[in-house]
Amino acid sequence: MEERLVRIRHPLGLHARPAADFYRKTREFRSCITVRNLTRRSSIEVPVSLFNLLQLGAAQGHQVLIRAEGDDEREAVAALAALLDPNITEG
Amino acid sequence: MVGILIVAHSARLADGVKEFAEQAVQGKVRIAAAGGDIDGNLGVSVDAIRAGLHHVASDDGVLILVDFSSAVLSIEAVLEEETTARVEISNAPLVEGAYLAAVEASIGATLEETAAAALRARDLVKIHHD
Repeated sequence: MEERLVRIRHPLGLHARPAADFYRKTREFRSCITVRNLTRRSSIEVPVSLFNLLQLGAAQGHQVLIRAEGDDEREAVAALAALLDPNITEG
Repeated sequence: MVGILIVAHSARLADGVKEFAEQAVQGKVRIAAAGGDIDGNLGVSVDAIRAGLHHVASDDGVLILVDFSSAVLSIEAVLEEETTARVEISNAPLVEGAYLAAVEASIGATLEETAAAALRARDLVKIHHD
């Protein structure tokens, strides 16, 4: 299992367009991927879907935990973390 | 790939929802808007719905999103003459449903998967209290 805590950088948070980009990126990997917004107490770890990403309520500065389990888990977490925080470089 | 048809009682409303959904998928999905009546007034047009349906038709099917149920009669009138395409009319709210459906279609989802994603829009929470 691979995981990484990422701080949301975008001023609008994980809104419609970035959420769609994130969701489409997850589909490039075979690993089982989950997300959780650690900044909201009510947020629980959920499998990634576009609906679930919107329900994270992830605003700028929030910390999102990305987890992946599978044979490409490292690549998946690296690529997804880089999408949320451009300061993180892939790989 | 599943096509998306937006049917609304205002041309600007339908066009705006189309624009929003297209931005989310960067043009990867065929989306058509059929808004307003034949004179450009508020209402729906059977001709515009038929044209939109033809524009987005594919072997994978078409998901239709509507603003209000009064559009459904016009859609069903069109579907009665069109027996070739697999078409489903969604019960989802228009904006959120179109967005969820377009993104799902963009990853190659089936008509059933696309329709299910759109329906999730009914449960979307927009205000978080923690």
